[in-house]
Amino acid sequence: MDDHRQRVREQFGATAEGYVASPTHAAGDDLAQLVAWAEGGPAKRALDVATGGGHTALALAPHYGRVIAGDLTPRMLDRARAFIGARGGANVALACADAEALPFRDAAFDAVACRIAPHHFGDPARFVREAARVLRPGGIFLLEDSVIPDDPAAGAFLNRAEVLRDPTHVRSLAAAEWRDLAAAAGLTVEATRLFPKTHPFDDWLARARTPEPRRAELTALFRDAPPAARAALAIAVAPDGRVRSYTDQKILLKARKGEC
Amino acid sequence: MSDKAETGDTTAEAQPISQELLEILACPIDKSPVKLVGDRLVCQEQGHKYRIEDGIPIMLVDEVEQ
Repeated sequence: MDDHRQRVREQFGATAEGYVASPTHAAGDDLAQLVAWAEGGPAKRALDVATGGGHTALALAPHYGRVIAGDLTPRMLDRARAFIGARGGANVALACADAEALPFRDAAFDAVACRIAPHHFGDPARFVREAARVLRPGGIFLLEDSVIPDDPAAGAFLNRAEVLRDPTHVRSLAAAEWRDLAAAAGLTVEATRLFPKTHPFDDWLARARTPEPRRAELTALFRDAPPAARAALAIAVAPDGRVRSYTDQKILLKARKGEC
Repeated sequence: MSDKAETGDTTAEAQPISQELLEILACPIDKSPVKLVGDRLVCQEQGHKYRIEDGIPIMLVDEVEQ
């Protein structure tokens, strides 16, 4: 196992419960939008890549005949199984799988979803190509992930902060980069939506269990953020210097594999 | 699981993963179909083997058994 994948497994093995309980990863209009785009059916099969706590797989389960939930981290899958099982997702099966080397046959799925995970992937282009490969012709790709602001300085700031907070963060892409990756993999983008998401600063740090020296570093980084980042991310700092929150955006993207 | 490996028992009753999952799983390396042999999933092209842990197939390139 390479160093990055090992770090991802250690990080999510240690913080699995936090992600199952996380309101950011559980409910919300973004998940409802993804499900509304799902085009399910009793004979259809969906894959949830990097399922994490299992929220997306569970949300898709009533709409498909079968949902496969994959994740790189076995401990995360154990937690996902308990979470899904307790809520009646009897048609969800699990597989330990790498998003960039999916262990599924070509054209096996009517839909491939991946929610709030690709910023951990070393090679998101490879992930999108794999998603396209396992989709049947006409099948749909449903993506949600944090995107960086279009402003390059603000974008670099946010990725730097994310890596400090959680070393398994690789890079969030800009919305335009996702559209390009989909097109390059032979997927036609049919819809995109951007959802703002406000992150209360302390919760954001707590979920990743960021250790103290880096918490202080991150607080200073946000407090002294360059104006472009402060504006693009709506960074809120209290009069006493505590960072209250920042707001970034998540992209939701629906794309279709060509019929031929 | 270990005694199943020894007897090579792959009857439906003893199968550690569902038939439907088995039919869509592929080797993450060469993408060929996999077959249940004992308690391992074995790729039909090059014989890569993957273990099943607590009902979850571990289909990772890094954990392949030759």
